[in-house]
Amino acid sequence: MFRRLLIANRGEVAVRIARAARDLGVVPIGVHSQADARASWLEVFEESVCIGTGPPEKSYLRASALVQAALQTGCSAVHPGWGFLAENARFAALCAQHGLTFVGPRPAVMDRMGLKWPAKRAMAAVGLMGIPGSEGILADADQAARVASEVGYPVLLKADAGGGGRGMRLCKDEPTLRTAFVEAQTEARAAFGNDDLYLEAYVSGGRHVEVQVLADASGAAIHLGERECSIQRNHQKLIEESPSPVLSPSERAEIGLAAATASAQVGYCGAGTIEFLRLPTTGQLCFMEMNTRLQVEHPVSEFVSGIDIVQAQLRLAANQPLGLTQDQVQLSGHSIECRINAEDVHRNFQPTPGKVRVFDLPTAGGPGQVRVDTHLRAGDEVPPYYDSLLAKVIVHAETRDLAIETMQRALSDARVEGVSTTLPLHLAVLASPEFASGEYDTSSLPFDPANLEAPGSSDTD
Amino acid sequence: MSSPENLDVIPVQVGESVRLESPDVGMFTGALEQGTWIDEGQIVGQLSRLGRTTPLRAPTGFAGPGRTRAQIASAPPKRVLEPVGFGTTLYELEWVPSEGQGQEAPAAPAPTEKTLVVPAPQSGRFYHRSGPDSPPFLSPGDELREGTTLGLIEVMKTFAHVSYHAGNGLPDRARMLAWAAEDGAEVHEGAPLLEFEPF
Repeated sequence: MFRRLLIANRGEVAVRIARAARDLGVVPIGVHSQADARASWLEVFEESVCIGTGPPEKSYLRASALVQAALQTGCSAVHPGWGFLAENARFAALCAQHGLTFVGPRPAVMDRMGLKWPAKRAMAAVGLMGIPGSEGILADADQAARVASEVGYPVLLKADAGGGGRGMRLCKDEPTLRTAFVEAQTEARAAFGNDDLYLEAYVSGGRHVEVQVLADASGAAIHLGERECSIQRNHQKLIEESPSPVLSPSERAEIGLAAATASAQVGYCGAGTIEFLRLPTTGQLCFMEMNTRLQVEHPVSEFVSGIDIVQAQLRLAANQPLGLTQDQVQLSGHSIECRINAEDVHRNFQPTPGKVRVFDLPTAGGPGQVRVDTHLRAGDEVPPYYDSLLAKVIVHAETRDLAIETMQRALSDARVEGVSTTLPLHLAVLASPEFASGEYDTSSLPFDPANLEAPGSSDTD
Repeated sequence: MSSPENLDVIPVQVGESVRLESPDVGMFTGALEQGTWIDEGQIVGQLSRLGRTTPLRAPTGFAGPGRTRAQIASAPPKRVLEPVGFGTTLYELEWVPSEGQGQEAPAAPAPTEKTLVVPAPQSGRFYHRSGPDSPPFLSPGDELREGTTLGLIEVMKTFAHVSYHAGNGLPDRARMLAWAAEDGAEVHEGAPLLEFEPF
């Protein structure tokens, strides 16, 4: 195992990784931008190196500064977290070049799987079919328009290196497609350092189901079941759960096995996620993409499987064997995660950076278990440069109904002041009959607007 | 702007003085001695990044309006292949009069609003170091945190550590600017021992 690990990220994920590192006896070393220099979460690190100014391209996206920081602090491995450089094969290669273990797949595999188009081809080779769309990267807006007219509008424009909805645009017709092409390129370049785009037919109202896989260097691979991530707003996941309310046990076993087999066959090593779109018409699961990194919503899989995915990542990166067969993975109960973002639900989800005055997310409510993953505490600043994730509240209970009840209780008891949060929206969705029945899809958020408390009332109570 | 062959350090004006900060993560080496005068465009050390060494240069205007040179006031303890981050202080500078301009350097930087002081917890003799041959506990630019030892106070042959304590208006983390009491000075309870600013 590594002695010192550089965590090339910030905020919630950096704190999560530091915890797993400490659990394994690995010393976590952090990095921070000047905008984060006074953040309380830097305390979780043994030490932290300032790598630049606030804007991501001046700090957290600076591959050479991150590698230099790892070298001069005596680290032997680098965990990229999610976002930033997590799926950047050149960063992984730069780490390798300087003798650092990158916690993730090998650069070549990452290049193949992290980029959406080569992944599609690799998955098709093992029998997982994708959604109709462009054959590879789009050269320009003209080509995009040609492909779109072949597969038929609406189409979804996507960043090849993308994730989290950034660099993604829904286009109804050619004029929107041409405008969106430039916007998505700019956004993708800023977010991922790669502006390649591809497109595929837009499927309205499907369900986003993804499988968590773990694979070791010897070619063994297992899955930890699926996550249902269809509660989304603008392609941003808000609520995730495991298991999915729509998969039958046989479908679960089948898709899990396919995902694990595919990972092994492409030489994947580490933790990864294969995303599928379940078609609203036939219920067929179409391969969408593979994320070659830790996912924000990994805790729901940890709850149902009892496996610490971040610890597993570190072990696998240190060339240790999986030490588990599929039969030994017991999935039990039901887990739900709500992402609490600093966004104003009454002002079109505008991010609300600022100082968090009150930050109280209780975990003792029951009836199930509650876990809160966060980097914040009262008094911390939410800087304007980065994503708006404040905390994740994750629950686990014997049944889905009990899990919903646990989550409702946890969120009702939560108090956050100083910044606006998506808490009211989560409560409204959890109270909806659609969510209760499990009959929802990615097209719209199921909630009764009357259940969103009136603007401003959260400041006065 | 920095040319590909060298990299400009970042001048940051702090009240009446200037510090030069590292423009990147790397190993800082070739540092200049305390008291060295720095001119615009002068190379003030090297930064080694991923095995490549780049000279660091004092950029035009680093010394502030109307000045072209300054003198290094700080001599941090270890300056050979020292790991630094972006923004790490490399030098604290002192004003020196520009030649021919007849400008007078202010004697000591007056504490500005942002400058805070650590008061002596009791009356006695204040020492910067644990023994005559030991290095000082702190140098300007060092970081102060809860429990950082600042010095010793001797009261009737008994030495007590003086530590930094956050709270009561003092921040959790701070950066030392200067000593307010000389090494070996007699201090009264509440007298300022050192000056610092929030980190």
